[in-house]
Amino acid sequence: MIELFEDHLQAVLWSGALLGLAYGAAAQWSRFCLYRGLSNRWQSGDSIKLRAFVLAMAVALLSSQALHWLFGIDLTQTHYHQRSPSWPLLLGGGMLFGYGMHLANACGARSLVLLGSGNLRSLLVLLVLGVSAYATLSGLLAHPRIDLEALTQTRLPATSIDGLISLTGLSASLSKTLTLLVLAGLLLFWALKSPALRQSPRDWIGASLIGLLTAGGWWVTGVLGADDFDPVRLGSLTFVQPIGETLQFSMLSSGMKLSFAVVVVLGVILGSFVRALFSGEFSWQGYESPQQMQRGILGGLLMGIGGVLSLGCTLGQGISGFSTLALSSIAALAGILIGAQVALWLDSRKTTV
Amino acid sequence: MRAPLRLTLLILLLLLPLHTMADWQRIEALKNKVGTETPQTSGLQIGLPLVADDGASVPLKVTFNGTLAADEYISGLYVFASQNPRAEVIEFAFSDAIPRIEVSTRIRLSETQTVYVLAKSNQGNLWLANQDVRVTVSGCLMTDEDGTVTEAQMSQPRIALPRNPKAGEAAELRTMINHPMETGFREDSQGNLIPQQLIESLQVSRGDETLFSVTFNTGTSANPFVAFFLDQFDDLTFTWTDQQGQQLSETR
Repeated sequence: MIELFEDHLQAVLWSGALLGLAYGAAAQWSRFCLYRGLSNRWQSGDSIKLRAFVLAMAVALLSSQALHWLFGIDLTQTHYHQRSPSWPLLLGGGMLFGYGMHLANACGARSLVLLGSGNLRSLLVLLVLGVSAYATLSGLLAHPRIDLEALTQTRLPATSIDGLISLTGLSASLSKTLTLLVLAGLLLFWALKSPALRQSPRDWIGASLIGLLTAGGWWVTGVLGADDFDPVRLGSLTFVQPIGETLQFSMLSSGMKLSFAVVVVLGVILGSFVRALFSGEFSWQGYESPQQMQRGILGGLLMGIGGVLSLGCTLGQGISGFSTLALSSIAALAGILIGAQVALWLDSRKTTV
Repeated sequence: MRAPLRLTLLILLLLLPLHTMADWQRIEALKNKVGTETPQTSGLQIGLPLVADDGASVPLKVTFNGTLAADEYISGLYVFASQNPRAEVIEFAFSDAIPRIEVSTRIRLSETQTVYVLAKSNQGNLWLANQDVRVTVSGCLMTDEDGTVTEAQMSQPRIALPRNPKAGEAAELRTMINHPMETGFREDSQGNLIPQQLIESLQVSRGDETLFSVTFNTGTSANPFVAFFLDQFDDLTFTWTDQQGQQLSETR
């Protein structure tokens, strides 16, 4: 396969673009969205979308671990496996992200998909998100972030769930199998318990595809991108830093190399656009009021800052990071869920009073 | 705008190139290499990213396509970084058997600064080029330079010959070896200075003849990577030497 391309980097870029296209189309078709899942469940008790997200987590976990077993991709080499993470920042960043997701009505990945189907509101959210992510990563907020990190870091004896279990004396392979069976079993059971999800192929097929695409990302960067001299950084679907990098690339491409993350982002927009066009769902949409616009801007800002502090978004930590069994993903995902729930709760109090 | 102001601005603009040209003279090591010669400014190209979010490993490519006299060839390339703790980054020495001057490596840049490359021919002619790189704080939160000390032993030498090598046709060879390239400027987690441990050189030879050699310095990234061009690919010996005098050789 690699002979088709000039070198392994070309192979990674083309496959990354295809992966993005597939994600964009699948997510546009199935309306895959963690925030929609949480708010539907909160407001009307309808949990299909939330169960679909959980199903995607389970599929991503099983398929990524299968890849690790088949190709020996070392998923502990990803940035989700931090030796000395900062719990307050992971959790707090997740909460900011979750709150921002509520304000903007969609997370970063969903905003890309919406943009492809003509939603100009998400263009503003994405611009703010990308800029604030880079401001936190390497700009105005970088030094405060690094100082806070240094203050709150704790050194861990293990970086993954199975690593933590093997500290009790169980062998590494046994604790991994146990973790996988229990976690995937629980998630699959809860997701598929609902007849509503089972009878909605759009949701369960879409979610399963997205789970498999996550493993696809590990394969592209870990197998196609493997090279003795210039290995591609191991990564999969994630949408905070990459949105910022895409903006940066659009401004500095003469002195920058195209990366896997950027082609995935562009692929998602294009994939969603093509699918929306063919299904007749494409329609231009904009803000209806300045208040809505304020929420969008603030939401993008909080998601950009929060997403960098928590090392990833709903997709990045919730699905990709989780599929590597990283401990940091559990903290970040918990933060995102808490942030979104608090936002929904505050909102419901406001409307009832 | 009034005339005197316009005139002042014009003079300032005219002075600007003079100012930037003089900047390299502040690097002692580079000044010593240049001596009293006046380097040419065209013919030497530096390939560096405009922005590097990982200053520990910035890809650098240097290409020479200037005009040379009949029996003249480029014998050395010297790379300097103006704001690094030590300005010397890496040096390449070429014999006349090298068909094309195009080398790639990865360098360390401690902050936003200007990278200078000086090329020297066997007849003593000089070329100088420079490029600015903006270095931001680490974009990725995990780096290999986080205070952990890895054992300073050379291991896993890798050499990749071109895919379809043809004698007489210039093609790129890539080499890499594992080594932390400890600078001696870094502290461990207890705050003690970690002693310097560097690979000093890579030598590529055929029989007794040295074709190409590289001198590494503190500005060379960990796991030194070097790519260069050759047009004969048989009987090559690659020898890495570290500061303790230990050697590791590979033959292709």
